[in-house]
Amino acid sequence: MVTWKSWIGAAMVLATMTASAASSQPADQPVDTAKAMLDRMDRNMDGKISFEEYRNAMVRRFGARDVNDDGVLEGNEFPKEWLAGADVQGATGKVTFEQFTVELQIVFDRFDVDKDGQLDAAEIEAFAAARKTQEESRS
Amino acid sequence: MSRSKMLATLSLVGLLMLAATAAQASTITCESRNNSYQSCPVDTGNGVRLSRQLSSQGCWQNDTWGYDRNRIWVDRGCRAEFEVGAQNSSSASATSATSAVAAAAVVGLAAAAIIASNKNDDHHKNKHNNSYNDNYNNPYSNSYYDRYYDSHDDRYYANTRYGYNGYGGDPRRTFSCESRNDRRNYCDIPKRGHVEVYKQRSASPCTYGRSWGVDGNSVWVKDGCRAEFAVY
Repeated sequence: MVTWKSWIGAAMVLATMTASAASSQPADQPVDTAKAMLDRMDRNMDGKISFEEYRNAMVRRFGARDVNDDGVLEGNEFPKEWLAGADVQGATGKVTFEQFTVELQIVFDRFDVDKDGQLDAAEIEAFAAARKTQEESRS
Repeated sequence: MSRSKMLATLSLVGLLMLAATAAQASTITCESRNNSYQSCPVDTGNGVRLSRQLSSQGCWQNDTWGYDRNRIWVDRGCRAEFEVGAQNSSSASATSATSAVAAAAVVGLAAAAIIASNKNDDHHKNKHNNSYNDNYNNPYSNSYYDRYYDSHDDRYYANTRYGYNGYGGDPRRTFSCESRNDRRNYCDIPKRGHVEVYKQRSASPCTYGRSWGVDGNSVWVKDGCRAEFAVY
């Protein structure tokens, strides 16, 4: 499918920008966002986000979005801001529960730089910074 | 055949056999229905890994799921696929590389955007407020629940129809409950819904059925469990 091509581009954008943002991020907005991630996901209050915490938060959010219960987010259920930084023309604006869950580990691992199964403070900030960069690239 | 060639062949066969053994991992789905405890008999000798969570209701190891020698158990609405006998924890990736990358972009963005979107929560927050079943209080009120359950693929049940929790995934309502001096304490549940530990604030574990539980409209805690609970 032609559309995949631009999605791959988006993935690369995410990956690249994560790396650069992590090295040159002043501690302003992303700190708040990192804090928000912890507030929402850190169930045992240890200042880190385990994969289990991440997975539970994300799966719950998918469920909250999937109002018609069909296991697919599309149309109004699919938040437009998820396409931030992606080539919107090529993007499908649709994600299935299966795609979503399969990728949870992959995305988590990408930010879990030291591979200890936890996102620590620096890793969470890198995640938050990547989000911010992605957001800003939306136009 | 030269000796070295034979050795190479043998070791190749050995490798293949190893690969075959590793590939014997199987996937089993185990689901807690009506929030109740469910045990799924399986030989867990070679390890268990939760490979895919299907329920919005939490799957927390040693809290709402676990395993021992001959079974996997789930509780309190946790539904998941478990990989049994894989021996290592590398995730199975049947997905093609292309779609994996594509979806990774989506999920990465999703995670990001969810955080950004929490300011908009109120738009959707009360959508399903009135549809929650009376599970904890009234044993006769489950008919709609059951009907619904039977007529749908239930994978996404927990948090959509009855437990809708807001636009950005915020819990519908949180409240705290603390056991002081290890004594039992009761706290009112502010709304009907599925109750989960949202933040555990104590060093002592908050384990359902042991140090906390639900009793009618109350949550009880004991043995030093202090936590913020969420009603979804």
